[in-house]
Amino acid sequence: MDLFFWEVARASGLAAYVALCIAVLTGLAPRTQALGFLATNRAVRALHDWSPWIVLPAAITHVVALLLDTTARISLVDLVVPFQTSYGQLAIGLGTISLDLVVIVIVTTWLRRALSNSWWQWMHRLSYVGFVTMFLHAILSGTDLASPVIAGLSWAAAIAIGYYSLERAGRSLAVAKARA
Amino acid sequence: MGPGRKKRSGPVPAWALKVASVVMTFSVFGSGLGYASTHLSTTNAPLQPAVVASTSSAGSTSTTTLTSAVRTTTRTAVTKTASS
Repeated sequence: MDLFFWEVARASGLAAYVALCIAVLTGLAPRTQALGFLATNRAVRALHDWSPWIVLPAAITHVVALLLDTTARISLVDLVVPFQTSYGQLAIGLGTISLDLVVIVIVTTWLRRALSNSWWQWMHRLSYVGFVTMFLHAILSGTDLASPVIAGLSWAAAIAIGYYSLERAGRSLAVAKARA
Repeated sequence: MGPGRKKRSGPVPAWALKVASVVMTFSVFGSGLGYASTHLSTTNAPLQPAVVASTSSAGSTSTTTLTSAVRTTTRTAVTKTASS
C-alpha cells in the first residue's frame, strides 16, 4: 500500500506542475498573446480564473499522498513550515514555500473584492515566485525528472513561461515609461 | 499582417479550454502513475530518503546461507580426456 501512495505522490506532483504551468501561462497570455492562435483573450482569461480547480486537487493529492507515504516521512508541519524535514531540507522546503504561495494567491483572489486592487496585484505577483520555487522543487527532488523526456518537457514549459514573463515585464515597463 | 489590421484570435471556446486543461492534467497524472509503477526505484533520483540505512542495519543482523547449485554424482563420466 505504501508503494501506491509513493506512486500517487510522484504522479500528482507532475500533474500539479502541469496545472500550475497552465495557470501561469493563461495569466500571462492575455497581455503577450501567447495563446492568441488558440483562443480569444476572454476565453483564456476564463480558463485562468478557473485554473485553481485543477491546481488545488493535484497539489492536495500530492501532499496527502506524501503524508500517507511512510518512506517520504513528511509531517503536517512540513506542509506549512519549510526546511524542517530530516532530509532534503532545501528541495522539500522549496515545495513547501511553493504550496504556501499558491494557497496565498488563490485565497487572496477569492477575497479580491475585500482587497484593494494594488494589494491584490502584489499578492498575485507572488505566483511567479511560487512557480519558480515549484520548478526548483521539481528539479531538486522530483524522482521522475531523472527521466530525460520528463525533464525535457518540464524545462521546456519553464523556459516558455520565463520567456513570456520577461515579455510581459518588458511591455509593462514600456507602458510605464510612456506614461512618465 | 499590415498595420491596423486586427490579429485574429483562435476559435477555441472557454469551455473547450477548460475541458482540455482537465484532460491534460489527468493524462499527465495517469502517465505519471504508469511511469512510477514501472520505475519504482530510480537510482539517480535527486532525493534519497534514509531507507537504505535502515535496510542495511536490518541486514546486518540477518545472515544469508549460500548453497551450491551444482550437485555431485557417483555415475561414470561420459567424456574422457585424451592423453598422448
